[in-house]
Amino acid sequence: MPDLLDHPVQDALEALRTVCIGRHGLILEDDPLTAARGREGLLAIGFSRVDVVALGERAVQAAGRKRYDVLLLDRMNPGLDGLEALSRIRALPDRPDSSRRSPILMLTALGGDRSRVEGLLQGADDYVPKPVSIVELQARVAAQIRRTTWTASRGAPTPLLSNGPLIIDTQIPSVALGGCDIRLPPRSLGVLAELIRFAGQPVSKTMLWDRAWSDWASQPDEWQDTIDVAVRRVRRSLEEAEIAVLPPQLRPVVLTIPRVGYMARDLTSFVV
Amino acid sequence: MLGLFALSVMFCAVVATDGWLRKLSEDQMLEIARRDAAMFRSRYASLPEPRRTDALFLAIPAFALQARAARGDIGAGQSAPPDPCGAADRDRTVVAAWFADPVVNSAGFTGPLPASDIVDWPRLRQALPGSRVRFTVAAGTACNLTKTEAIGVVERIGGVQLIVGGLVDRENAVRARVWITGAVAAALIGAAGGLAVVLVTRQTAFRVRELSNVLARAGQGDFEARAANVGTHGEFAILGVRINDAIDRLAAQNRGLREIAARIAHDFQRPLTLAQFKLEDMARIGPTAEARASVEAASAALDELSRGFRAYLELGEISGGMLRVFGPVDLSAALARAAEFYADGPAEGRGIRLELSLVPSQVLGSAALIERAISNLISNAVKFSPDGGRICVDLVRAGTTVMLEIRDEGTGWPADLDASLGTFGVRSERAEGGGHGVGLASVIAIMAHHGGRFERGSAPNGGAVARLVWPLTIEP
Repeated sequence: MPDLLDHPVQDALEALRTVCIGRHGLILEDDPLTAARGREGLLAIGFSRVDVVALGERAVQAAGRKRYDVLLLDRMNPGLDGLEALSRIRALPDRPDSSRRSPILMLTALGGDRSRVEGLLQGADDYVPKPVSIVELQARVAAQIRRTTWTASRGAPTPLLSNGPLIIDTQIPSVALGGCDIRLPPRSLGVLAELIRFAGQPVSKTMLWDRAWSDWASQPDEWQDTIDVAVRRVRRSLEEAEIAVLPPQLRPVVLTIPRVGYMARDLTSFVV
Repeated sequence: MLGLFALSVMFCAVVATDGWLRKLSEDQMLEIARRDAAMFRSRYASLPEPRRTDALFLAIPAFALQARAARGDIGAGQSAPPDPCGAADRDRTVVAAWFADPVVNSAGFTGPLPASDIVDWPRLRQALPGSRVRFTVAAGTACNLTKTEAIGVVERIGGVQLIVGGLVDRENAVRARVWITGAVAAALIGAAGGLAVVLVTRQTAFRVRELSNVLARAGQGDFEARAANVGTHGEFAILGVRINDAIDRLAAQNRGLREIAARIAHDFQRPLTLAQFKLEDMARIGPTAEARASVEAASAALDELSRGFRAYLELGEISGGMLRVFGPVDLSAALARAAEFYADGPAEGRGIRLELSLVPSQVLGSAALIERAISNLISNAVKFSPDGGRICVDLVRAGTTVMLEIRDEGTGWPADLDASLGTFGVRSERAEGGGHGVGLASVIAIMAHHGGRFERGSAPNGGAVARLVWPLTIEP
């Protein structure tokens, strides 16, 4: 994908399109504004069909008739709320035409309090903090679809993550770029691992926080600054090895995506 | 209490019964003594001296035997010595006769008992004729084991003075039975009372614990628990009903507050979201880079507004005691995390050092809220520390509390802080460490929610000292 490598920031949306093209989604949201926004966001990254329902009962019915690639459920709804709809969808018969096993993301305003979000996530795959930022939504949906595709093709996830010559063993843990060992503190390693996991796709800062600071129950006010510092550290640590191993057009590996977060270039097509 | 009362009543009854029996016994003995004295007087008073004295001195030692024989206890004329402890012997005994005028013959004495056995003999000698006397017979004569009380009347017949009377405790056996019965009853009542006290104490402790648990849970914002098992009548049942009523009302108010908060969040969210969406679009399709930058700035400001709005909502929730998931929270781990976070992020590049001294401690609480309080204070300390400054974070256990102390080398707390502390919106530069003007108010509300407190002070170098004190709910 030479275009992506040459113009990574501009083509971040394009990277998401490659993952989401032709997908079908379902949104349960009673607020028409947010629902329209979500629909627009999904269509923009290649979804071919996005159904919107305002009632939990409708969402369960729709999920029982069709296998959606992703479902977005608002937590607070008139009638059946998002949590109840979630548990009913997870209890649907396991048929190819039901969404029982589809990734489900909850739309919630509880972003700051992880203990409450975790309570909410019983049976859900991820959440999207409200007010919904379109890029945050796109990044999280694409990540879930990519994860589902991997699980289907490769089975259980392994501790070994690779992105071309960049290899991370999350178990040891260790990082190597083209044979050069890279030393990273644990948080920065967690950030890099998350970026590599979704290489070629923008990863939002909240996604990085959720993954690399998962032992926090809350989100301190300065969380974004601390992520920026961790990414700077990753870049500094990789710099020397990048110069030794990668051609200039692939440097730096970690790119800033304004208003979203960061992205690791997809290095899978590069051979040392 | 009931047991003690029963024991007292029992004791009084035994003492009264004993006194009554004793009085009865004395009255009977005096009656007999008067009759016998009259008999002596009528039989010997008219005899001329010295025959009268001789006859009396002869008659007296035999008198007891005669009396016993008269009742058929022993055969008439038998010379067996009297059994001083026998019931019959105590019935009626002429105790002593002596010469009233000691000048005549101080040794002149006769009776069934030797004078040395009469404990009060010198006093008795002086008793006036016709008077009633009480005296004590030494152990070993009247009875082998105990001293025995006696009562009698003094009679004067010519030159001879007599004490006619006998031992008063002729009902000793009955009295002993009364005492034994009383003692056994008292023991039974005592045991029953003790058992009752143990049972009542245990039940009381159980009920107090039950009520205390319910109140503690309500204090932590859990209004699900109700006082049950505190009986159907009595003070505890009334207290239980009152507590349950109060918790019902609190739960209803809490529900109301939560609904209002949810409604506000829902209603305000919409215009905020709409504005955010429009700005997002403009940032993407804006005509020039400058326009896009302005829109980005507006978007960031709106984002800040949203976060401030959420912070106030949350403070309202905490102050209203809204239910949070309480569990064990590792304070030392949370502090280590927070210190690492601030050392890596905000303190990085300013040369600020965070020095930790942490005793492993756990408390019961909401992990998210405790983290929030800790982060708030450390964030404040970092913000107000001079470059290259030092921040000390100490976690110590003191008795039944855990205390966190954070000291910085900044300029200390502002002088006008007291007036605004503890109110909903703390308007002070230092207090706004959290970024929304709710920083310290939030810390205070969080600590109150956990049954702890926030304290502040000044370090010797003028820096600020912030202390959080939790009750130690989980023993290490």
